[in-house]
Amino acid sequence: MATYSSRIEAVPAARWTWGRGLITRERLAPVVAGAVLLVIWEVWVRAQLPDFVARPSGIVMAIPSTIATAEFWSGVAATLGAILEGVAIGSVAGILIGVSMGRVREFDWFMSTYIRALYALPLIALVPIIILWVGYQPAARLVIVVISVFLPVAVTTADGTRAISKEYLDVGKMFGARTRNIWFGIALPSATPFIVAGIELGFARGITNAIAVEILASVNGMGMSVFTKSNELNENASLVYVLCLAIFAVGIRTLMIRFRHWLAPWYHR
Amino acid sequence: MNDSGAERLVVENAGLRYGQLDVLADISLSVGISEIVSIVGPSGCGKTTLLRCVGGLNQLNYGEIRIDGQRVEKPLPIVSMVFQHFGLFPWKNLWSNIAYGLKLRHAPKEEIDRRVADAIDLVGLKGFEKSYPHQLSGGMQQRAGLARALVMEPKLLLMDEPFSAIDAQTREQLQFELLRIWDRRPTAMIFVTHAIDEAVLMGDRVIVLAGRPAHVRAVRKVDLPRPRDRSVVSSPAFINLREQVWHDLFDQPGANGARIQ
Repeated sequence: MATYSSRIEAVPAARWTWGRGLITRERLAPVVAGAVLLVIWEVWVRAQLPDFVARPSGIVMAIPSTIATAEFWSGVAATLGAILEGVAIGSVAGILIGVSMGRVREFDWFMSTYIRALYALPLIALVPIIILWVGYQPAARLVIVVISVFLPVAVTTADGTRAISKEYLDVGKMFGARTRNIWFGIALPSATPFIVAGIELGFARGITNAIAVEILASVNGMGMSVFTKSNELNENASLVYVLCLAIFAVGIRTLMIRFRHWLAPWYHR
Repeated sequence: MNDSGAERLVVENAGLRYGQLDVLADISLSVGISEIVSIVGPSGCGKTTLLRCVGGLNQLNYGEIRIDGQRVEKPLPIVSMVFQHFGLFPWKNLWSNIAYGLKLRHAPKEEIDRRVADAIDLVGLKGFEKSYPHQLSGGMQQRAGLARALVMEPKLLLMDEPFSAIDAQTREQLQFELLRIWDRRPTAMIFVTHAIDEAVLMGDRVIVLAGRPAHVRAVRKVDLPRPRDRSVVSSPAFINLREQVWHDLFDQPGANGARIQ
């Protein structure tokens, strides 16, 4: 029997460790950097700037009063709901169009130029026009998120499904795979890492553009609250919303990395 | 060459070109019902291309390939192939990789379970059903590649340099295991390799393919007893044949020595 290799990579441990190695220098470094930055910010605002300017202690104090409001929770629900819905629709559409582009050369000829042009365009430039077309309402936000996700997913799916290893195709043909089996049984799974990367990028763009719509069209959501709180000179409350958006964005990124490891454990980057 | 019952595969005057480049010229050969034919030749001589034509993955420009009298124009269900780089799907575990062909043919679930378990047992992979290819060594991956081909119970097995991407010790182990498996289930087989030892060890006949375009330069009958084990490798008959095939391959045409037996 051949030897079984589990491919566990040895990582040299940092030297200063406490509590069973949970606290390492590598993990401590960003905490220290953050603390230093917060202290500088706090001291500077207190020493030099007017009272309404946001400062770390003010933001922390503003958290309870901000999240105790109905406005906060309806905003969070509206923004996150629209983003998740848009990502779902945009991903499915992007995967279907992308796999068609990747597997049917003629279809790619028709689509590729325009999909890639739109993909390269900063979509935020289209936000005002789409608001005019769809109206000053939540639907505009959903449309923007769908497009923001659809474009990168279509592009990465097309690239991923086009570049399948020839040997996989030979195996498929040899064992009797039909076109449908090759699309959904070989091309799509082998392109999973590409597709997940596309969805991840779509999420980031979708969040950005959703916030832009909320601000420009006064659609209820976290972006609108950031804007109104800031206009009311309540900078601390405004930054509580920004903090929540940051947590959401980082959380999504972490989840997507896990998602890729789970879907494509063979793929190491 | 005749088509009368005893031949599983008949290749007649096969020729193929890529654009202006002639790859195969006028190749004729046959493989018996339970015969192993080795095809040996220098790298890039076209032996894999010939095998792919037999598998229905490439098309001839002229000539004809028949398996059990049926013309090969696309992959036939009675033919299986083992690939040089294994070709296992990394997103499927070993069990699912091996069950792939049967699932595509919509075999009943109980039958798939039974045949896959048999094949896994045959190649010695019991206990690794749930493992993914990237967790296994090359030798074990190719065992799975072999099981995936055998589970289809093919009438013709095509081996495309199956052990060339595997380390030398494991390769030797797998060669004898393949012979053991074949003794249990004799089937027609084409074994493409660039290793002369391997060609002689496996084959009932060795076909030497060479030249540009590739043509059959020599056919050597291998009169070694079966079942073959390690003792065969040191026998005078084996060493003698290996020398003959070496000369078939590397002597310039027109130099001394017979070309064809």
